[in-house]
Amino acid sequence: METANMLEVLAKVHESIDSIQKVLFGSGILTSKIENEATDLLKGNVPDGWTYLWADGPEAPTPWIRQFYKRADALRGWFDRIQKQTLLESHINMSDLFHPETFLNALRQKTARSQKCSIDELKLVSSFEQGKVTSPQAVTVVGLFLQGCSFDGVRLVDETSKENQQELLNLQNCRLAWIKNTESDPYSPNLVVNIPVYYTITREQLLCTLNVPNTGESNLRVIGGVAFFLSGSE
Amino acid sequence: VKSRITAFQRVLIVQVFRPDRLESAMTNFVCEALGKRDIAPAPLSLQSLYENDTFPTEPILFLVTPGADPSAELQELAEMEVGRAGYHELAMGGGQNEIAIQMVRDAAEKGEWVCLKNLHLVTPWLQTLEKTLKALTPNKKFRLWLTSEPHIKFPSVLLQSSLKITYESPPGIKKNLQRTYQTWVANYQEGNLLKSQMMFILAWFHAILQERRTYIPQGWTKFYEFSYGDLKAGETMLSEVIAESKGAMPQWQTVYGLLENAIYGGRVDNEFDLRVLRAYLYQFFTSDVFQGITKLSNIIQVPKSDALREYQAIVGKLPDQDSPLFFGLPSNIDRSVQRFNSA
Repeated sequence: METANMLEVLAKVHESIDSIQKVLFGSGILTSKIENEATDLLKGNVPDGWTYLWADGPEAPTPWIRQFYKRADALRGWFDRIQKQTLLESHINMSDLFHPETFLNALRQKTARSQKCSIDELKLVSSFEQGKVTSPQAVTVVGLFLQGCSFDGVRLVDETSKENQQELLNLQNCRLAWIKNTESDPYSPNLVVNIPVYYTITREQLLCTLNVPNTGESNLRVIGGVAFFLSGSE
Repeated sequence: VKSRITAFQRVLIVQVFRPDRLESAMTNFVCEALGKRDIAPAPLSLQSLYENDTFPTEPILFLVTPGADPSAELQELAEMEVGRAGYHELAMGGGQNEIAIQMVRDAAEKGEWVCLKNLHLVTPWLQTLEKTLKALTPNKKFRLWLTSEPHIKFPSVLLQSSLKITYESPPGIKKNLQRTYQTWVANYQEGNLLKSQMMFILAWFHAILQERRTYIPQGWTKFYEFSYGDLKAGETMLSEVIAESKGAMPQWQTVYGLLENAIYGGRVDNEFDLRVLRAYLYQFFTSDVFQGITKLSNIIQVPKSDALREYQAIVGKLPDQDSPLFFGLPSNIDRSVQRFNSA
């Protein structure tokens, strides 16, 4: 699915650039479509034909291409692992994906099928500790970023050093799984705070929320604007 | 190094190496170059503006940013100057063009005030208004106030013939609180301790919500239009709650519900931002804050006093620059905001 989509985008981008180039070198005819796409690029916008295929990318063409390339490149690795059937055992970086929400949903459906229940009966749980999330369908997610407070490996903690601390913290592996609503959470509800997970630091798109163990008052984390991101750039 | 490069070169160097500090560097540069302590202007006073700069023949045009609305303050001024009956207000954009013209003519004759709002919605009609104005020989007390958002089709003749004021709020908690207290000075009633305290907390809450908009997307995910109208509604509502509680602590649940669902929360459409709003409510509006056990945002102790002067003194002592800690935000947030603005 992702690969087919990626190839489609690649074909589209190639087509646009190629035709612009042909026009420039005098070997092609200028059509209104090519003109529009070229003007968009000159103005620093991503052409509509491109965003139609991948809407969640950055707004400027250069980072757009760069992000696209990063994902396309990573997808080759995914493709390999899928063929060897080792995808879910390996470490997963969701910022590699064009549509991370589809991945979460696919995992949900797969879990539902093997647990023989409906997807409505499942909830998402997470833990940064070993042995807390034990579902056989759990995956290990890497490369999450944290903004707004510090992290001691298990729990959210207050910032320690005041100045010159990185605004984004790279987190270690997080175990993620869908479990039945009736099963108990890895942590007791009064020890955790519900944290949003966004695609990028612009906080435009929400992927899901996770219950993360916390120290101190959870209201303070809410006011502090604590959030997770799949990717540390825009 | 400081002696060998110019102040402007310093800004350039900061831009190259520390884009996350560029904004501070530029502010410092401007202050140094102009010899000012602060680059934000003093808060606008409509009253002195009216007395010194306005004429009956010259409309006063407020260029507003979405969310900023001067009409509530204008109304208060009008009540003092020409009385409630002498002030007419009309929001344009619903086929009221004829009424507006008539209103302007009547007021010009009787020496009353008219405020026509949202002119950017009726740009084609503005030429008619212009002609009407030219034909008037207004009474000495007549004033025409206009508000409009910037619009490309706004006729330049009308623009040229008006006194133009940009109305947007200068940044910072201190300025925000000063503005609030400036509008409260006239009708401030001393003698009710609980009410004075409550009003101060409301003003603080309002300032925090508005100024948190400096931190987008970390603080709020978008620019919510918390306005003077919200503060006004909050003031009216809390006064009633206090009157009902008869000297005892008010019903906190009522306060939370009204502020969250009826007033401020109505502007917020993101679940996580709503959580932030709620968390602030629970922090600020509690008995502990009134009794001075807990400080507002950990820095300000609400005085046990009903004296206006005491509250104004506290506001005056606040720093001009906000610290993210006022908002409960992490101290390194400035870096991402400045980088965001320099990009």
